[in-house]
Amino acid sequence: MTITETRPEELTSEPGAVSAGPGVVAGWLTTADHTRIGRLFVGVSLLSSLGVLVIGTLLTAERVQPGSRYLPADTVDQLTSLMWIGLAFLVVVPLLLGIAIAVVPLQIGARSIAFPRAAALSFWGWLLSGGVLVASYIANGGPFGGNAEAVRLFAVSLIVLLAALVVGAATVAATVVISRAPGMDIMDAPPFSFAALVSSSALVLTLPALAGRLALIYVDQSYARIVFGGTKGISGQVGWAVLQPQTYVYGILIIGLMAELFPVAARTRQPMRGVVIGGIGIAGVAAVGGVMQGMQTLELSGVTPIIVIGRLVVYGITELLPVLPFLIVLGLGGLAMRTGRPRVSAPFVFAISGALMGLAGALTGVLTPISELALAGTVYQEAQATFLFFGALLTGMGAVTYWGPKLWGRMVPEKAAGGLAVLGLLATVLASMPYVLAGFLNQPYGAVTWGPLDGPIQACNVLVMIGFGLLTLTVLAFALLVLRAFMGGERAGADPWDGQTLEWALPSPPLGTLADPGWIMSPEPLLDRQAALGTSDSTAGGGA
Amino acid sequence: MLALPAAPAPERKHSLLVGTAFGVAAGAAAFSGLLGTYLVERQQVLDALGQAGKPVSFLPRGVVMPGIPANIMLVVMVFASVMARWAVYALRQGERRHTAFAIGLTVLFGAGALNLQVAVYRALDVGVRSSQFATLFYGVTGAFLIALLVGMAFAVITAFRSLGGRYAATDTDGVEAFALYWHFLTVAFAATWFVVYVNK
Repeated sequence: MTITETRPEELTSEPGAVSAGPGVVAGWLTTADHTRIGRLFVGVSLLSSLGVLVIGTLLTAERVQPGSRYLPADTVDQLTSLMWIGLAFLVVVPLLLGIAIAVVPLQIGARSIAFPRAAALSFWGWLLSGGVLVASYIANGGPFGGNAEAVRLFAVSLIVLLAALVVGAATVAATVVISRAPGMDIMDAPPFSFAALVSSSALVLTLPALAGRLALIYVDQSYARIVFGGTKGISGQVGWAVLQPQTYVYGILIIGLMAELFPVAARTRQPMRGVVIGGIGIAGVAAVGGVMQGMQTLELSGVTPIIVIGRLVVYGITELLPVLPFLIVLGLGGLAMRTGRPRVSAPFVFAISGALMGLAGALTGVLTPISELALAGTVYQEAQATFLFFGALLTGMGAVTYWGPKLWGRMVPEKAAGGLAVLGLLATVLASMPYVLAGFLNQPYGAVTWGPLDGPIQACNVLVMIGFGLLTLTVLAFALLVLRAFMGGERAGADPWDGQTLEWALPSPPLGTLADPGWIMSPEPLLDRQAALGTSDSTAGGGA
Repeated sequence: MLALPAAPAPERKHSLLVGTAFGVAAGAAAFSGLLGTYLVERQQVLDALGQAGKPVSFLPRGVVMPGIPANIMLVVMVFASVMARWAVYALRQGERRHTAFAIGLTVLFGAGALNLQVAVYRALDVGVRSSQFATLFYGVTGAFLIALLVGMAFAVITAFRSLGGRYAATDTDGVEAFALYWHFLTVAFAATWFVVYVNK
């Protein structure tokens, strides 16, 4: 492997920085460098997460005591909608997409991301439309909005935002398809890159369906307002995008990061790696298949045996299949830990926390369609979505910690990050698990006031509020920690984690690309190199 | 003088073709969303009419779907798709003039489809506010018109690049991508035709 380094006079202190010509601001505004675009996505989506989580904390506080209102009554429904749509499209999807845009080209030995200007367009389109989306809510738009123009603005801005995310996803997927290093078979791609391909393809196949529906909502809102039940009906039309099974699409990268970090933590090759890659593929099939089917109600009484079998098959695909990838990755990852020399790092704690929450989300989804349990339409569905969204957020923070050396050239302090990972796990459990119980007690979905609020239900709502508040503090602390570390923290070596994939052959931060990564003979090229050199020095790197 | 053999040509990456394929996948998903929403809302209206004991028809009373221009439009879109494929075939044969001619015909058929859609609107003669059918009909067909205009712009750009010598028999990616998009348009219209004009 050889590395082409950019000439020193063309470099500044940061990767991809532009030293001549445009200034710093213009450099960032016009950049087509994938690491910069990824960092912009990560930074803005982490900031967005703080706003969304504060709204979530206020909304859950509203549910603790009837009559004790912190928010104007007529804005609660709109804020609830903003929180869920924000969690999906202003936080989780762009955070994970940004990491993929930054990391995937480095992982697969590509010179750049495919269509770099499209990737830049994706970020700026997302940022501007995201700002307009929030503004439309402020102007009394969105679902349940009272201002017709602002409602239309909501529809248009969300269409543009979805288009921007789809463009970004397409650049990631195209990069994995066409820009892999010579010899790197698609099955030999690093698990995170493979998951990025699956996840991006799933986004490309599902988000435009939402955009199409929004286009019809826009037409309806602009003229007759007779098709979708006015502004109140919009929530029902777009709500599927933040609920099971669409949330599985957003969670595929949870599995990808976990599959990436298990063998790194175990410091060995992943046993039965093909099965792990297959598991990630199953996650894509299950997610897209589930979205196409929609959430099915499992009603088995009063129908013929053939129909029972048919419904069970659909139920198996849409509800049971999403559990399987988590079990495969966690099970075979555990096998790697048994056979290897485990070293638990902060990114690993984040990743396994995210994966456990993703598994919890998938497991809760198993019960939702069973009609006898009457869980659909209760906060049980909120619990499931929260498991997956917050699990994905933890995954995103783990990915930032893991690839921080490659993106910023600095290490995030391990102990502090590990502590925040544990705190994030606790917060996610508190924010989700009580609603599983409250769902069985028939607390309705999305409502802030209803029925008797005492006993176990009130305790559940208090715990959820604490969970949301705790996660807000965790993300805030993580953002500050990362900011401090990346502004002037400890400089990172080329390979601080004993990585196994190509990006760890580059210096931190990478001063260029692997011009000639050589013929990639296996999924773990760096382990091959160590074996060839007869060394297992974790700091080896910087080219061979 | 001895010379080293020429280095092997770098493997082509098919970037434009792969990018267009993802774009087409996104477009197909968008049309699935549009047509799926149309069908769901239509069914709700029909169910409501059935329960109320009224005549079950999604089309408002007195409105007749203009079938002939819609059917001709389907044939025109199929021809446009065939022309796009001919452009790829001609380029592979090294016939650059035929390629440009085929792309030009594709644009012409596209313009024909545009004209037929306007004819459908004029023959239908219903306002977008008049009924649920009208709102959804104009939403779905309007989205197709936008996709068609994008396809025509794509064709014009491809024609200019082809005439400028950008493509060759060994590098057909750009024209392949253009053809792929027009095949998508044809399939999207076929689905729209069945759902909106036949199924009504």
